Amino acid sequence: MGCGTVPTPVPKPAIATPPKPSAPCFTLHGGTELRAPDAQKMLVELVANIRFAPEDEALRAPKSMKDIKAMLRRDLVYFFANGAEYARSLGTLEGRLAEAQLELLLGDSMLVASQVLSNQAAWVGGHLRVARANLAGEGAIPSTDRGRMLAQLIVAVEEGNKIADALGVVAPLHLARGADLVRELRKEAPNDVRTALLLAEYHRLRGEWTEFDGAMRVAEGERSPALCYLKAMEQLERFQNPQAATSGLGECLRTRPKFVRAQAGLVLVATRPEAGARELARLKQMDEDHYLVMLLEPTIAANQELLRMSGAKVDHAP
Amino acid sequence: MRREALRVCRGWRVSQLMRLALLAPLAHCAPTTPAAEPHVHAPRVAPSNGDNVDEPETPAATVPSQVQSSPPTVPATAPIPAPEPVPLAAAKAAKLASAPDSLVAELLGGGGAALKAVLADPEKHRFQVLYGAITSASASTAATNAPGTSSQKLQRHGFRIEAAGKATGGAEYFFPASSMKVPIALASCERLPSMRALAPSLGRDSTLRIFPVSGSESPYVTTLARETWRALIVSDNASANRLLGFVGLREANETIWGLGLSSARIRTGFATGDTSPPEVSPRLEVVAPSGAIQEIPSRKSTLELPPTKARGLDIGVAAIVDGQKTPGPMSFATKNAMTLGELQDALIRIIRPELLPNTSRGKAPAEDLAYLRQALGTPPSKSGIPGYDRNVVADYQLDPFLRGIERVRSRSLVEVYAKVGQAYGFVTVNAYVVEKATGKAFFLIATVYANPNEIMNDDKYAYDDIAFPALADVAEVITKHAFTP
Repeated sequence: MGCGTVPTPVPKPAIATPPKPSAPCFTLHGGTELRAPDAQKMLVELVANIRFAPEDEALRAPKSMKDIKAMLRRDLVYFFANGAEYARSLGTLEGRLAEAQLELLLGDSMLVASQVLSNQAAWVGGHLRVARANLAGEGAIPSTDRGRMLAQLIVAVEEGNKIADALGVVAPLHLARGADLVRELRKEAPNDVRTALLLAEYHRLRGEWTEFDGAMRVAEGERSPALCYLKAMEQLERFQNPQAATSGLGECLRTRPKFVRAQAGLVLVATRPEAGARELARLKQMDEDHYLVMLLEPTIAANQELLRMSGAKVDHAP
Repeated sequence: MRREALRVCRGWRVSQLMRLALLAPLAHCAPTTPAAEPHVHAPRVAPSNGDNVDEPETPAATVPSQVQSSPPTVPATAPIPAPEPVPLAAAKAAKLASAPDSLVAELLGGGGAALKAVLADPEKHRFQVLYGAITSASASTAATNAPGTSSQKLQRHGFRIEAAGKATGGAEYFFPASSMKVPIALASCERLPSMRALAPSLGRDSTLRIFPVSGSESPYVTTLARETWRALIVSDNASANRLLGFVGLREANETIWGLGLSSARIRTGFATGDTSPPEVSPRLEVVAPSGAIQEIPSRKSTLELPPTKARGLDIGVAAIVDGQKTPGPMSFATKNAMTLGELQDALIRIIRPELLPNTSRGKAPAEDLAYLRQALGTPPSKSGIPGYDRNVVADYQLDPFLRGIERVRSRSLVEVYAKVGQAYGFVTVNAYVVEKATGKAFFLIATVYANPNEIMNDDKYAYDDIAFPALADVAEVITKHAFTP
């Protein structure tokens, strides 16, 4: 983390942002001019608008490590930043371990979400191009059912793009903070297996497989859901083997049927659209409010509708 | 653009550090696919688990029917005070007869091709429409007004409403499906004050723990507000069943009858795969703000519902039962029922109670009725419900009138309060529409049966080809009539 010399100004949003993380070594900024505070604000508003189940809502302001564990178990990414803030407030080793885990997972989830949303433009790109061309001939206010629907779909996809931008801006802050914490934990608790697991997560995210192997050797033998997940994702990311990753995640779920993150992983590693839809349906059964459900469903629905409007036969609702 | 940079799978060069962002979902990207090809397919509507779209209801428990006059006055045996039975006269007084005129028929005649196709054979499509025109331009959702106190008037015009009359067995049956969630939600509000006798801290936002009827699973933790929101906006079946379980089957029916809606027959819940019998209400715990637990014990309804007073309860030529095609029509005598007019009455009670004649005001707290209005007026894309929020497609699918209304007024110019029901080929929409600028408003409810092969439960219904376009056409002609000077 040699880039951590200049602290990044941190906004003060409702979703807590880690204090003075090292500046990320990279930036995902491209042509957009979205600033971190604006991105943060957008995400805060997004989460504030979601109506969670009371069980989840209670975790919005965690009050104990039990809450943090519940948050992780349910993969309640929306509140990870709040969890990290609470964990940090404890000032203990346990707190720092939890904070590091939350920050790394949050950053990872945000980047995954950002890409998922970015992909949506590709999914429906052809239809959108046609939609824009159609609307161009309709004037400012579409005059047909189809035109009105196309206009709505364009707005939906563009909103998704904005969220993707925001996630991409904010995620590095969390990853940088997580990385700082892991570095501290290597000094503070070098022999703690939880440190090894976090280190493995950190190196997995960076694709540093030799270091990942070293960390995994220390963690090997632990009966941790994180270990199971790391092994499965390694299959995908290191060996480009989605089948093995699917199998590994399935194994995680066999031993821990409520391991939501493993099910979310199955959505991401699905190689065929049908499999993706099936895994997403299972994810909804486990957690209907999951962030992947929130991000994916509108685009899937839009895509299906665009297909239907173009004359393709699509399945009706179940 | 960052999102372009992230799209490694589409040929962008990625730095080592950028891999961090991209590794997890790589499988989605390779190999490069045509842009139009989706990575994930899903049903066109994106409902959460248990939505009542294209699904039959939970099989009814075997409850022997017996002929009774409606509304029945069977005393409740539940530990909660039962709703007060309303005298038949009062129930009758609550009704607004639809004017025997040809206005709607004339308006429908000017509709589009889809509507004309349905009008060509309205009996086959069990097509019924009830238009509630509100005279006066200064409409407002004055919810605090007592029934019968409005200076405005509701003039109803029907098409094939109770066309058969009592001599031929009552109104034509249609399967209300999820449109029944409106009276159920109303009943849940009406019952709140009585249920506070057992749980004083019970309120819309109280934490409820709902214990499974059987088994030892953990309780489901929720609030009435959440379940109402989901049941009314995205037609969540599980949420509607929880509301029904909260109210109780007996209490739900008796409460709705008590409001003068005597045709209601709530016999079953909504399909979720849960086989809990609808007549059993689960044990509930209400968590008070202090943390104290107040218990509402499990209840079992022994109510014997009177038969559905409607003609044409046997529908179709065959049905799929346990995966097998069974010849003969399917009987809807053991399924939920309510007349179109009374379904509209239920909506009026929530949205514009002052338009109803002098009847029981009901016991629903004003703020809870306001919450029902808020839910009914919120489209899925603005609901904050993951999967539906930003989902503009769901807006149209959960309100088939919307397309037709938008042909007359942009969405930003109107407020639409609506609930759809869709199952077994029936689509029913119950709506209230207000033009923001002028305050002009109307109620509209319509039902269409679109099952060309007449096979029930085969999931081959003509919703997209017949029902949705026809209902959009209905909404268009009525909106034009109501809003055009």
